[in-house]
Amino acid sequence: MNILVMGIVFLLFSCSFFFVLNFVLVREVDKELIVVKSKLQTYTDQNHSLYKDRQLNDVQITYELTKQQITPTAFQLVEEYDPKEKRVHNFRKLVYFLQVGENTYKVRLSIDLQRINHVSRLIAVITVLSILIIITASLIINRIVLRKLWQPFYDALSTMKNFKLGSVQTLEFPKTNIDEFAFMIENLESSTQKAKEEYYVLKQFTENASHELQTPLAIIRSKLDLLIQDVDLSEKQSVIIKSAYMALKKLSKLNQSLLLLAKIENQQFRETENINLIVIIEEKLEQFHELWKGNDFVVTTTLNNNAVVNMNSELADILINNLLSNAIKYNLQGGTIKIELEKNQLIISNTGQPIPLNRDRLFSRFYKESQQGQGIGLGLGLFISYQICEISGIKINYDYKEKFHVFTVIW
Amino acid sequence: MKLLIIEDEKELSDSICSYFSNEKFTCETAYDFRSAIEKINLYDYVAVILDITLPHGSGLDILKEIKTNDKTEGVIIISAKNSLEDKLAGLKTGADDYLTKPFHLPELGARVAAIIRRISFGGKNQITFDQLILDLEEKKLRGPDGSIDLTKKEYALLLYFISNKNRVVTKEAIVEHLWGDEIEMANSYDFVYTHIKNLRKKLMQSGCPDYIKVVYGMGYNFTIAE
Repeated sequence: MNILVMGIVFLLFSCSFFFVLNFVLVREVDKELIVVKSKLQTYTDQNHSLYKDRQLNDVQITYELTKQQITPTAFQLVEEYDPKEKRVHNFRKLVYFLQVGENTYKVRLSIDLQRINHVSRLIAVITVLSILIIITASLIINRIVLRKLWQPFYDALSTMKNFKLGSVQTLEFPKTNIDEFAFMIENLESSTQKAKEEYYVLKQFTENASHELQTPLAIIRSKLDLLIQDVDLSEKQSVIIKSAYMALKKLSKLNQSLLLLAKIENQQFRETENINLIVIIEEKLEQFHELWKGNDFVVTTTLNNNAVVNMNSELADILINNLLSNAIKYNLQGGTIKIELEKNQLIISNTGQPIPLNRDRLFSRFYKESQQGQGIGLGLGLFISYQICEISGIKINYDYKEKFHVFTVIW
Repeated sequence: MKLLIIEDEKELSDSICSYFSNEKFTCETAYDFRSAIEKINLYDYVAVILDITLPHGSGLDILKEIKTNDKTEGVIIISAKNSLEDKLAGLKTGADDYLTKPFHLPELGARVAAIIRRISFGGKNQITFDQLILDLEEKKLRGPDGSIDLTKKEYALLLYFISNKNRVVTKEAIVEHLWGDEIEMANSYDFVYTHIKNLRKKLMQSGCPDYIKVVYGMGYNFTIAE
């Protein structure tokens, strides 16, 4: 943009420069003509006759006896054929009337402008070129020098761009001798450090709060466990206690989930190893076996025994547990579960409610489609699964195909 | 047999005490580090239930104290912390078991019973309950009519019941014990009912009275019928 404007300005400048130069030079020529005119006048006044030579100082003189009316002196710019050069040239003419005795002469003084034109063109070109070169050179130098000058600034900016609040890595800012930048970098460092510390405190709070909840939950559960030992409980009381138990279990699970999330975000599961998923899946298959039989599920499995992924082993266990639990929980009586383990992906599909789940909100916190009292879904399971995948650098997708809810994990 | 419960939450401590108090057990309590150390050094117990998040000192130090003084108490840690590192740290320091809060009291019951069996009776390999003799080494059951075949789950279930005899145990607690609490349950625990039904059938077919009493809406009570 800048360059365009500069270009236009430069062009305008060059043109006007040329014309101004021309104008100035022609004025000089005109002065020359006037000088000659006055010389002729002086001669005529002294000698009462016309100057004999047809040329004086580069000026060509022609006389024409005329009976015309005296018109005011005029300058003219004419193109004429020059017999000497055999070309058409520009001439600057001064035409005036001279009285010698009783005769009136029309005097024409003319100067060949060709050389002058030529010179002025040359001057213009040289000047414009020089300016062009100077401008270009300074632009280039500017760019190079400025770039080096501003490099620390841009580096600092790109470091800030990569700043993630929860990450444990310390930011590496460039070193610089320039005071202003050093000052800016110092401030950036302290601000980001402070932000990180406060965030960490908040994280700790979440984790501590979760821990604190465990004990009251334990107390409530223990009291309920004691309460049911009483043999004199009425049916009504049993129902109420059962309800309390259910709510308590939900609360416990919620607390556990929140704690898990806090730990994941706190990078407490940073250690990774190469895990062959078939081991975990076969373990879960055995564990869940009872549930399947009880619900009349049809379970088909295709397991590749070389499905290795690099992630934290606890998280891998939780992830697969979540996915399989969901496949059970949100399934129909007598439904189907398909588990396909391939080298680079795991596909778990299950039958369920005939409406596809909302893909955009599916993996967000507390997402729940209304079910007919199916399971004790908290809505955090998929969110946790999603977080685990995020932090392990693997992908998780949902699709609804041929009446199956399909979850795919790809690594 | 004496149990020591080291837990700073008095309510929880009381609950545990109530649950364990019967002909067999008496419970003592300590609510803080100092009194815990005192009691450890003055008395002998068959098992210690230890909360490691104590005020004024870490529970792990008490554990170390128990181990260095060459005492024979079995120790089970109860803790709100459930990370793998905490569990490993506890077990490495010498605990016999680790249970995270919140837990079902019968679960604690089963674990304490296991520890006691292992320690005070030198890994006693037989438990007797009325007409049943359970061989822990062979994992076999003998009733009045001879040996009874049990599946792995049925065996674990029976052991759980015996460890919590005369106590009402909920279906949830049983499920958590047998399948772990990782399993998010679907809408019913019907499959548990199947196991219990099978166990009961086997026991009764071999001549035992029906020990598994159904407590309506709650769970089960394994007891010698009156």
